[in-house]
Amino acid sequence: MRLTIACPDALRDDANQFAMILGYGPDDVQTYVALNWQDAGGNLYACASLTVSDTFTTAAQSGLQRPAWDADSHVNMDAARRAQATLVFSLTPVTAMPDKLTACAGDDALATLAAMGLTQVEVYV
Amino acid sequence: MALTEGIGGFLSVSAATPVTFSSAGYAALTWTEVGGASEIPEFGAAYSAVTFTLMTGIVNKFHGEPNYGSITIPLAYDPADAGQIILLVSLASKNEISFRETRSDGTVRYIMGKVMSFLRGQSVGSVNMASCNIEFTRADVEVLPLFIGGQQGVLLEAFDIGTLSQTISGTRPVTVANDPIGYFGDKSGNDNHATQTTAARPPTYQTGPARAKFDKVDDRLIVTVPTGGFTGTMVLATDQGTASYGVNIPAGPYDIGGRGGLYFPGSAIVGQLIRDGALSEGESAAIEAYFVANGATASYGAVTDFGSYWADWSEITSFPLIDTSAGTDFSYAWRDCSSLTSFPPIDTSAGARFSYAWRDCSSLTSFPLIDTSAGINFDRAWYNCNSLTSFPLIDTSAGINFDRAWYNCSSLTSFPLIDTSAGINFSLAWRECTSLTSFPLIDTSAGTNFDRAWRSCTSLTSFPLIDTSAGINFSLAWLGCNSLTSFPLIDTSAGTNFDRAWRDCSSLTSFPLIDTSAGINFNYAWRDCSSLTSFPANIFDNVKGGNFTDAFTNTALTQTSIDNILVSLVTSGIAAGTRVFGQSGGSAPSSTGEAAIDTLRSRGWTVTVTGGY
Repeated sequence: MRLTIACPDALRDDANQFAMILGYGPDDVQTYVALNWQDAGGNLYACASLTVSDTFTTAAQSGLQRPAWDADSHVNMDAARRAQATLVFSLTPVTAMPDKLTACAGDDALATLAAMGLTQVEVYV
Repeated sequence: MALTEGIGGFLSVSAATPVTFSSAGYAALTWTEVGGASEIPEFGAAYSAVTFTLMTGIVNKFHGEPNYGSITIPLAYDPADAGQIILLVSLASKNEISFRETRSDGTVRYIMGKVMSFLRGQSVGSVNMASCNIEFTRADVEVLPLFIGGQQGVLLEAFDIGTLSQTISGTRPVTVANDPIGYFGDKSGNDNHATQTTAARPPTYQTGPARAKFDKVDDRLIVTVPTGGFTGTMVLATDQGTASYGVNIPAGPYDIGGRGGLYFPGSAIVGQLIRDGALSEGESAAIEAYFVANGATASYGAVTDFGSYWADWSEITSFPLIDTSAGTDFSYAWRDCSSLTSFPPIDTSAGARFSYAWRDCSSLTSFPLIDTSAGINFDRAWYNCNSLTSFPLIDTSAGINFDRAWYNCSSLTSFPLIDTSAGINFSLAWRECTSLTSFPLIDTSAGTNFDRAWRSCTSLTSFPLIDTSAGINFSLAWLGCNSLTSFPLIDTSAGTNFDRAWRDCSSLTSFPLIDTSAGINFNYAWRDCSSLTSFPANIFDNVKGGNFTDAFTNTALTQTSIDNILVSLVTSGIAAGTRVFGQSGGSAPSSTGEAAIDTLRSRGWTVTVTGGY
């Protein structure tokens, strides 16, 4: 299953902590970086899209444990839990919200983002 | 099927060990051909099989330890042959030495090994024979002819699944469709592997054809380009087309599969080759054909939407003449291709949208006469192409939106008489075209928005009598055109907004009796027209608004002219809304003007004039 996730600007730091728990390791702190997307209200989002297993979706919605690789406590577990608390998971596209981490299933990432009400930011003026 | 004859191949040896076990490392060695060889038997790694039998009875199999193999080479023994001498010395020293197999097609394989025996014999009816047994000790490094000289570069082949792994560690091979590709092995022999360590960003493996698919949201792989960078050719074979580009890629991380994960000419890589050192046309064509034979789409001829395909590809130094004949949307297609100095005459005859298409192609010095006859939207199309010295007479007859189309094309010295008869929006269209000395009599009869259209065209000495009869917004339209010595009697009868329209046109000495009857806003309109002495009577008799804030500040108006203006404002009868007038410089009004000021003030105007009345 492909999951496309919209992370609002204000949740990026927390969401990147969450991503480190669900992903490979410390480099996943770079998951939500560029604010390349915006909603109709002009709110900016960093987006990610990836293929995931059922294990991933279950883990994303279960109690979070510090990952085995994180012996040095890189991950801010409180921040990760804050991000998880905002998670909206849907098998169909739902509108992205500026106070939610919105994850929607869909084979085509760009189509999913469009259905979530997001358009690519025009960086230039 | 591509078969290669064995005749012409040979084996070389070097007693030295390379600094790195890469094509570059091996290529740096001094090689000596082994004479007298009649055959180079097959060799390569073979893994032992590790099995594990489940209670179900199914035997699971895994790769065990690799053995890089051995060969025994038959030789005509020649005690004076330098290559055979190296083999014999190696046998005696028991040292590991380097081997190079060269095939007749120029392909090379490097490998390390030890000489374990060098047997000699003789028989009637033959030359004196020998056989040399070599045990290989490392994985072989195969190098295409393009990289034989030790050239740097990258070769990625999605159709060689053995080069793909799910993780950078290589411990989870890619085996089925939708597996993530976290490691895409470089086959150039340079170990410039493409990797991704963030879980959300790897592309996925797809089949039919085998390819690395990118989501165009955040997926990309990273190659660390070594010191010196790559200046040469890139052949990029995708699911939507294959093409070769000149490139100049600096050392450091380089995105494979999409600039920032967003911009890529297709949606999947079938193969990609980058070589430091330009390929010949023949070499590029051969590589393109090789990738196409392995599943890449040859032509971009079926693509309709080229939106953002090469956006931000500032490493491209030349762009190929690809088939874009089906393209309708070229929005952002080459935006910020800032290293392109020229552009080919591609077929854009079906193109409707060209917004931002060549924006910030700041090294383009010329532009071809492409077919833009179907183009509707040219919004920012050549914005900031500030090295263009000329522009062709393209067909823009269907163009509606020219917003910022040639903004800051500051090296253009002339502009062609293009057909802009359908144009509605000319906002900022030629702003800061600072080298234009003249402007053609284009058809702007449908134009409603001229906001900042010629702002800061500082070299214009004259302006044509264009049709601006539909123009509503003239805000800042000629601001800073400080070389204009005259201005024509254009039709501004529909104009409502003249905010700063002629501000800082400091060479104007007179102004025509334009129609301002719909005008509401004249804020700063002629401010800093410091040579303006003559201004016509009755020009404001029918205006609809009284915002003349600083409209004539820092001008050189004669007394007659300032009187003309003040009397005309009285005639307008404006007695509501914004009612501000400002003048400085030039002459103070006469008693006629002062009487007009009294009337205006009685109607609620705030009036400031030279002399302080």
